[in-house]
Amino acid sequence: MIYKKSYICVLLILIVNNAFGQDSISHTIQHLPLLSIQNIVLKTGNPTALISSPIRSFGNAEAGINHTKGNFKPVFLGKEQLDYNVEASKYFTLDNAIIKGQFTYSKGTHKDVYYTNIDNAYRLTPYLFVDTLDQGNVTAERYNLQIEWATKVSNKISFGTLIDYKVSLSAQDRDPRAENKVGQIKIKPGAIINLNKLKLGYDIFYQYYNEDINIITINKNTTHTLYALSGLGTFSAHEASSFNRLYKQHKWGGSIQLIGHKNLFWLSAHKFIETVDDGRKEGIASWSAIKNDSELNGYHYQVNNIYRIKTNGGTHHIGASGKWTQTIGTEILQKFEEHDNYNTSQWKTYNKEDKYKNEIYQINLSYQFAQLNKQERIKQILSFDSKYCNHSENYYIPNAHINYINLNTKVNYLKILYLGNNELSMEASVTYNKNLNRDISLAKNSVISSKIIIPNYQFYTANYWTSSVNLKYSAQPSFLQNTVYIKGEFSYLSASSGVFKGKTRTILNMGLGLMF
Amino acid sequence: MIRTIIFISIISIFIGCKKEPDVHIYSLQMKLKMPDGVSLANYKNIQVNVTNLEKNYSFTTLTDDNASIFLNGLEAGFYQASAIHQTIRDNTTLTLNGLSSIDLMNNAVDTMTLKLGKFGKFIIREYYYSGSTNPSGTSYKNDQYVEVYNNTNETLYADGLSLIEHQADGESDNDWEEIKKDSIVVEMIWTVPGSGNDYPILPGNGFLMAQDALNHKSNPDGNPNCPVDLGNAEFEFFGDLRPGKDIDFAAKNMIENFWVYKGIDISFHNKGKSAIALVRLPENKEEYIKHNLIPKIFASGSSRYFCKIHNSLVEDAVEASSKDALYKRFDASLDVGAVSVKSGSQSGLCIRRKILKKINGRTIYQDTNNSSVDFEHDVVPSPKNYDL
Repeated sequence: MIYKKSYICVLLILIVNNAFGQDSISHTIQHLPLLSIQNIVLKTGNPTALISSPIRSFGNAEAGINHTKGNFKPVFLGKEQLDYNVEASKYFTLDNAIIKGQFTYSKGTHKDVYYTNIDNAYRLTPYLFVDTLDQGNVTAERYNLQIEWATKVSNKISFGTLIDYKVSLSAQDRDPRAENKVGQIKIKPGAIINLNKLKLGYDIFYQYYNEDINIITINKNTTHTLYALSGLGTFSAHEASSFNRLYKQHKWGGSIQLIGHKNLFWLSAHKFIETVDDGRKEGIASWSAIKNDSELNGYHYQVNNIYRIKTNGGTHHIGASGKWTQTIGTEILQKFEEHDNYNTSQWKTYNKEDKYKNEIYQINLSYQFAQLNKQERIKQILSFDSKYCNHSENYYIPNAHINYINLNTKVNYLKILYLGNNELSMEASVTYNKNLNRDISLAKNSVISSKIIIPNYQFYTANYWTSSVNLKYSAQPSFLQNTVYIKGEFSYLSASSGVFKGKTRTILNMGLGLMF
Repeated sequence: MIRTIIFISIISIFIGCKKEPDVHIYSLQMKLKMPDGVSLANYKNIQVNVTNLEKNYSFTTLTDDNASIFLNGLEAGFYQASAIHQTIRDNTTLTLNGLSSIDLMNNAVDTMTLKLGKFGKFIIREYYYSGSTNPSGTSYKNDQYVEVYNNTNETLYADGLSLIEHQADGESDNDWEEIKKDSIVVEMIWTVPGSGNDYPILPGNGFLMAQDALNHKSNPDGNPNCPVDLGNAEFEFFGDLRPGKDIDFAAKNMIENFWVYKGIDISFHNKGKSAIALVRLPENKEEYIKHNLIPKIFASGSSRYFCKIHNSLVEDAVEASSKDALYKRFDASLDVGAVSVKSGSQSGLCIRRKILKKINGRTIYQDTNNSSVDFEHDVVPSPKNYDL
């Protein structure tokens, strides 16, 4: 871990050094939103698209806090979260290449977190790991380093690569204490080929995710019941004073893009295999006896199209996309048995059975109208997004299922005022989530059903409103050649149906930044 | 045209990649075989309980006219089936018990052999092993005890009655599985003193075997958080390994006959891993133990001797377990089930036998040789309160 931290620090220093090594020019807060308006190809995720960025030298450093509080929340989220974060990013050129480097770090405390022992309970896996005790506090640190690089090798061909590295460390403050170490690395090379009227882009990626959970009990002579969930209220329980679990996920896929003057079309797909292994021997944790708990196979397909119309009044983007994700869970039946030839015991596999299926269909429609001023700077942006999502989960024998369909609609308006060298960005949005249909059938009542499955189902099927305002003010002080800014974002979520009716959650984000 | 081709291609990819889980459903057919010499007038409606050991759920079904059950729609897994049936013959209630493990990875046909339950006149009424927590937050186990009860309508004598602890902890393979049908293997034997008529126990009465016979709630050597007063216990376990370390309270001391892991004082696993039984050994216990020593070689290469006791000498057995019993230690004729304090160690709670009925004010406790159904768990210890 020391090695990883040192590696991150060195790269961070390189980014910042390079940043201040560039010519200092005036930058404004409208740069980044403007990028995606003028270069919609950046939305495809192909790292080669960076070559089309008009920004050659732009840096941003920001420090902020994020505070979330309220009862309108899914089960695994704490009642209150306070996170501190710093972020530094920089676009710069090196020979013919454009490079973007980004580093983020956050540290926070999540209060009153129930049940979960894993880092992220919303990764679309049924194989979670929970305990039954009262709420505890979780301290989490997250690091993310991203390097994106693109270069034009000829007028016809450009190449690019993205490397993304994430580390997360978290720990609980009460028994049974889960210490989580999460590491994720992603490598994504891509290319864009310039055909006559069209550009053809493609990228492929490989991602490895590793979550190592070490559960310990400080109080001596105490054991706790730990539940290894299998989906929709099914579980196996273990009485133990310590436990180890390891999630390993390999994900790979790719995307092709057809980039026209007015139209952008791209199709992407990926597959993943995730294994869950437990290090346990009788009532204690031990990697000397590995139990293979389960396996998850997932597929994801996505098709997108954005059509652009440019008029004298502004630019219109009309988008549509469809996504389909499927995961199939397989349980591995093993028994702890003495080895025939040695005086040791190991987990022996008896069978593997498909037991779980999760499917998500999603259709998005979007419209954006962006108006620039004479200096080609953003004047205002109005956008509308509507998302239809059909989510179904099935568990087989004993049969259980959950299905819900939601329609989520968002209207967003951004206005930027230019006040001499200073800028004021004002943004407001309203979102309404409407549940169109829902159905639940669980095989049996259990502590997991009543404490986790049903409350989460009630949360995801609730109708709710979200109102957000976002203010950002930038200035160029006379003593500094760079632009500094202050920002504040506030979101208010309010449920309007079901058991959550009247419950709310607020999210406040404050930040101070420097552009260079 | 190009757009049409793209659209059709996308739909084809989506449909082509859609996969359905490969789900299997299995059936189980099981016939109950009666013990030798036992026949029933009617084999229908014998209750069979089937438990999925991995997923912690169970269901109950009844036999047909042929003493068989048929279950369909089962998931693959490791199951345990148990059966209890009581019948009256010659004015005596006979209890038949059966226990069978099934690895259901295909459709299965199996047989469960029932055994005649063995009944002691003395039974274990309460077993308090979880212990409590000191005000400082540390574990307190000195308040552990076993309560023995006379469940008959005649006076019994506690003299010579022994308490044993099984060698295996139930959390891994029972090394004595091969001999379980005939014997149990124990790591300690403690016996009530007396010459045969010294400690009469009247019908509907019992006595306590305490780790330390004091009022744990009020005594400065105790623990104010402890739920029990054991100052009136009849017997206590007293360790003489280090003089002065174990306080000798007023209760009569149990006789130490055999104690493999000898320490300052006896201690049951507060997580519930100590399966215990009451046994009546032959009068010359030393001789019996000497002729029934059985070695066990551990993974480290070291070895120890434990004592084998024939099942016929067992009066009552309770398969206390830290979790649902995956690795049974007692034969079905002794205890077909298992029981545990779900709240865990230091909870101050115990297991207590359920009341079957009361006759003229005398409580008769349920004893079907199935601790899963005979005992309540997570109850507040109430020694000698026979209204509970």
